[in-house]
Amino acid sequence: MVYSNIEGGIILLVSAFTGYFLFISTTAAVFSNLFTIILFRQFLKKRTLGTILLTISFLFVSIAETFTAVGQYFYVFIGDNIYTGYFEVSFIFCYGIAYVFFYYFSNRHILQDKDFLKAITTIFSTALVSLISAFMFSDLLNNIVDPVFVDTIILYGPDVIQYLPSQIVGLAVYVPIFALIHIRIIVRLIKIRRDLENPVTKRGFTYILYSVVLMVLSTLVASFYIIPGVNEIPFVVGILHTFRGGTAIISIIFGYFGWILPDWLKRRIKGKAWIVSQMKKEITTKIAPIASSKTVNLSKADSIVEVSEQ
Amino acid sequence: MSFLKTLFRSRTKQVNMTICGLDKAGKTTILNYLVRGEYYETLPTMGVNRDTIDFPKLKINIFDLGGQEDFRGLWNQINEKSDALVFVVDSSDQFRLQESKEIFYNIVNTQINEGIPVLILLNKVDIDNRVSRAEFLEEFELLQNELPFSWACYETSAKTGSGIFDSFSWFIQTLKEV
Repeated sequence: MVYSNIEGGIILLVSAFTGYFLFISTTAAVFSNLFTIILFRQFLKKRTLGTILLTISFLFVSIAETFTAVGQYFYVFIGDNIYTGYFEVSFIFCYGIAYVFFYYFSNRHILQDKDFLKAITTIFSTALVSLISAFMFSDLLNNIVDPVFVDTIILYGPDVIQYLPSQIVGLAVYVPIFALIHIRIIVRLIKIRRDLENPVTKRGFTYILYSVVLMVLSTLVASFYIIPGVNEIPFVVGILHTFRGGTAIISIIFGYFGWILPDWLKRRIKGKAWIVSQMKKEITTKIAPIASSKTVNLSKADSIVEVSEQ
Repeated sequence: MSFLKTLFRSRTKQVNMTICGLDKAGKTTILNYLVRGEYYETLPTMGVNRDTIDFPKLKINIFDLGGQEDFRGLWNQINEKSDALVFVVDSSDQFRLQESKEIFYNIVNTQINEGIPVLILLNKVDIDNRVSRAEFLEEFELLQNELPFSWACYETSAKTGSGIFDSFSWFIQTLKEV
């Protein structure tokens, strides 16, 4: 960190790159928290199990994003300390739990797994994430010189330290979770979308599909830092961080709109109702003639059988 | 204070509209036509279909109520909160005209609020073997009874779209004025 002493006061100097890096992390944290609150309000309105499961999933994502941002702030403004590691390592645990809740939520409408499969998936995913997180925390707690579970990477450019799961650990956690949860959801969503005719439902499922794909991408991109040499190219670091933050934010937004489909969005998807367009005289629909002899060639006025005097 | 209230008050009027009638009268088909402008095959409504149509300065929440006997118990709760009623009669089903009339008078006498506009649609006029206008008016005693609300009766076909625009044009105009 660079400190400057001007007229007796100490000012902390943060480079523009570091500032930008922190800005992206903060934006991701703010957005995820914001949408968690909005979703919780939806839950208070709807009181459905599905909404609370999704809210909990969002909550863990927002905790993960907040902890990551806080960890980075700690490093930039306080310096390298154990808390940076704790906060950043929490990311993997929080995202893991978020995925489990997301799996439960998806089971209500998309996957519909049997109880046995649900139990196996949940236990396996939770145990895996918890164990790996515990080992990662243990590496940090014991201050191991050459840790097995945690990779400490300095990102050149923003000069921020990043605590990530090591290559093997990252693969061990995310590959099975993505295979068990995300890939299955994506495949099922593609199939469901294909058979849908209702434009509103179809659009809803499309947004959900985007959300899940972006969720996977976001995690994949975060793991790119582990590739040797990537952290040493500031331009790549900047791009990766922006992409990760962006995909996380967009995934949350798509997830929210796809699942909740607010009334205004439904109306927008459906477009203007026929009767509204007719009344605005924007379009004229050719009405087929009536087959009955009594109604053929009736003028508009004549078509009224009777109107009350009131 | 009242100035602020006026400033922030929504200028769009919100109206709840119910569509009632016997089963197979064509209520959902009419709703679909209003929204899509095309005829679509429908399945019997199990409970209530809900849709919203936004007109300039008027938002109509439409409740299309299932016409089967099992669902008629629900009508009362929805109709009493309704600001407008559309009653659909199947003009091709002469045998159920009496049943339709009984239900109509039950709704207008006991379920709806006083003074709300009522639109009566003699639907399925595209079918040849149907009840005539005169027969319908006589059977429903619309001209004999002095009904305590503004109403209009139109002939419609949700299959061809005939009469749909004219009838709802009148209805929406009436709703804007109420």
